[in-house]
Amino acid sequence: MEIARVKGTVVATRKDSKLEGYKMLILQTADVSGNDRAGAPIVALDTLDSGVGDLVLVVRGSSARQAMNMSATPVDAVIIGIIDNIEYSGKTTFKAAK
Amino acid sequence: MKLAIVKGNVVCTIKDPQLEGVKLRIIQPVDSGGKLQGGPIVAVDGVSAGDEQVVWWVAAREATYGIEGKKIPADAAIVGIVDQLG
Repeated sequence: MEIARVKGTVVATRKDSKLEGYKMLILQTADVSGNDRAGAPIVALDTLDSGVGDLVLVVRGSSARQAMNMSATPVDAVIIGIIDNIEYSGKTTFKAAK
Repeated sequence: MKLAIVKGNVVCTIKDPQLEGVKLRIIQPVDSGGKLQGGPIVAVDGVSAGDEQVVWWVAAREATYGIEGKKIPADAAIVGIVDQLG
């Protein structure tokens, strides 16, 4: 999985019917301190009610369809966790603001 | 399967219910000579690996089988701890 920052939302009125009711968010992958990594942003489905600014965990590829109720959903990126803190090399590198 | 070094942890209170009780570790992929392969990623841990241990892991769809008795939304899973590299 990858660490990513929620940057914005996507709204699509006309879409695959299996995507009805899901929130779509724009993510930028991030390092262990929560700083943006280089690379193009991605769009991911969200079932956890994440918000813009949250640091999240995103699963990609066909594994994404293993997330809750996604087995027949055309999706390749899903948010599976909202990150509270990250520890790297014995140090806390990220802590979510309460 | 690939090699990596375990570097840390990620804690999520709000998560996909299938990940309840599953450990999330930060791993740094390496080659057999210890050279870094890209940046760190987050993997589920089915073998209770310790910090700085060399592990082997599976990527993509195979990782959904990484925790015994569960099918989980994961694209990286630690599946073994390396004792020795020949």
